[in-house]
Amino acid sequence: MHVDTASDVTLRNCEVVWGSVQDNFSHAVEAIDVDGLVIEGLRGEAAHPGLDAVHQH
Amino acid sequence: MTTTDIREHGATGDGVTNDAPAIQAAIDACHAAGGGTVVVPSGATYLTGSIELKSFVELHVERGATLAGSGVDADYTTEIEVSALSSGVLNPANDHALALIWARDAEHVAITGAGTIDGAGRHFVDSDNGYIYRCPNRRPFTVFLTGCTRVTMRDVRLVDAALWCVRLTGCVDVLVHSITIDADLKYPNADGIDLDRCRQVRISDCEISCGDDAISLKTCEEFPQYGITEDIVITNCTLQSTSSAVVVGVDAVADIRNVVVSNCVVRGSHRGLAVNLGQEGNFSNILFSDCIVETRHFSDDWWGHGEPIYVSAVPWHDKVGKITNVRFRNILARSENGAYIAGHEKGLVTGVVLENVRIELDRWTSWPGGEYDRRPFEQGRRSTSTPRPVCTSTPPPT
Repeated sequence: MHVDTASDVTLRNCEVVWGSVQDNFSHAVEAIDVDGLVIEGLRGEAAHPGLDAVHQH
Repeated sequence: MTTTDIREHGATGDGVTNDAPAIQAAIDACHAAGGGTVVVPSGATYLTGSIELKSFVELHVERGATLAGSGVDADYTTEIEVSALSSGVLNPANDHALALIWARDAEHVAITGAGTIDGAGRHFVDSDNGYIYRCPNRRPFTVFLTGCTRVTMRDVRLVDAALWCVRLTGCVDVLVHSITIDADLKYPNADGIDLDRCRQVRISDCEISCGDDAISLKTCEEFPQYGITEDIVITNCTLQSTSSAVVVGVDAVADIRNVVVSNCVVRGSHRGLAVNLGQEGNFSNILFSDCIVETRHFSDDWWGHGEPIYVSAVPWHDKVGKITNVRFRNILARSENGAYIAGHEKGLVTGVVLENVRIELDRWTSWPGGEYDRRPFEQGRRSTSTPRPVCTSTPPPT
C-alpha cells in the first residue's frame, strides 16, 4: 500500500500477503509525506527480511 | 399501448441493406402515436446506420435478433464533437465521432430485450499493434443519449463497440440493469458504460468485458449545461477491462460526488477500483465496498499497472481539483501491484479510508513491474523506494 502526499488517511484492519517474493516487492505500507496517517490492526510483514512492515518518511 | 414491428415500415433484415430509414420510421410513428414499443423481431440481422430514439419509445430487440451497426461511414447521420479522443479537451481540428443509437432531450426512453446490438467496431480498425488496435476518430458510439430523463436499458447484449459503448450524457433518473457488454479487449476507447454529467443513476447486475474502462464516471468538457455527476449506484456487476474496471474520472472539468460501488467482481484487469482525477473538477463521497479484485500488469499502451485500488489527483494539463472522502471497505484483492494513493501536492487528496482490505501480491505475468502508472500525468517519473510511479509519453487511451 503506497500513500504519497495525502492527508487524513486511515488503514484499518488491512492485510498484506505476499504470494511470492519479488525483488521489487518491499514494505507492506509505505507512506510519504502523509499528514494524519492512522494505521490500526495491520496484518502482514514486509516482503523481505530486514525491512519494516510500515515505512513512513 | 402501441407496438410497432420495424418490418411493417420496410426493414428487410437481410443483414446487407441499411434498414435505418425503416427503423427510424417505426420510431417516429410510435412517438407520434404517443409512445409504445418498437420491436426488432427475432430471427434476423438488421443492418443500420444512425437512428434516433424519441420520447416515450422503447426499442425492444427480441432475443434472437441482431441490430448491427454499419461499417460504412456514410450510414452514420449523427456525428458529435467530443473531447474523448483529444485528451479531455475539445479540439476542432479532430474528426467528429459518430453515433449508432442516439437520443437528445427525450424523456421515458428505453432499450430492452435480450437481443444483440452490434457496435461494428471491427469495421473501424486501421491496424493491430499486437496489444492494441489503432483506429480513426470517426467511429460510432454504440449508444449515445444526451439530456434524457427516465432512461431504461435492460437485458440487451452489446458487442464489438467501436468507441464508448454506452455513453449517457446529462441524463437523469437512469436504470441500467442486466445488460451484457462484450467488446474486443484490444479496442482502444471502447469503454463499457460512461456516465457523463448524469444524476440518479442505478447500474445493476451487468457483465462487462471491454478494452477500455468498464464503467467510468465523468464530467466532460462538452455539454457543460448538464452540470455535475452525482448520486450514482453501481452494484452486482462482473467486470473485466484492459484498463480500469471502475473509475471515477479521469475526464472531469466539473464535480463528481455521492457514488457507491458494491458487490462487484473484477477479473483480469489492468486496474481495479480507481478514483483518478486529472482535471479541475472535485470528487467527494465515493464508497467502494464488498468487492473482489484481480489485477495484473499488461502492455503500457493501456492505462493502469496492476493496481487493485487507485486514488490519484495529478494534473492532466494545467490544473487539478481535490479528492475528499473516499472509502474502500471489505475488498479482497489479488494483484501484481499494490494499492496506490497519491496527490500531486498537499491538500489534493484528503480523507481516504481502507478498511478490511486484503491484498495478496503475486506475479503471474511476464510484464515488467515495479512501477505505478500515474497517467494522464505528463511530467515524468517520480521515484520511491517501493514500486515507482511511471509516466510515459505514449498517447494514452482514455
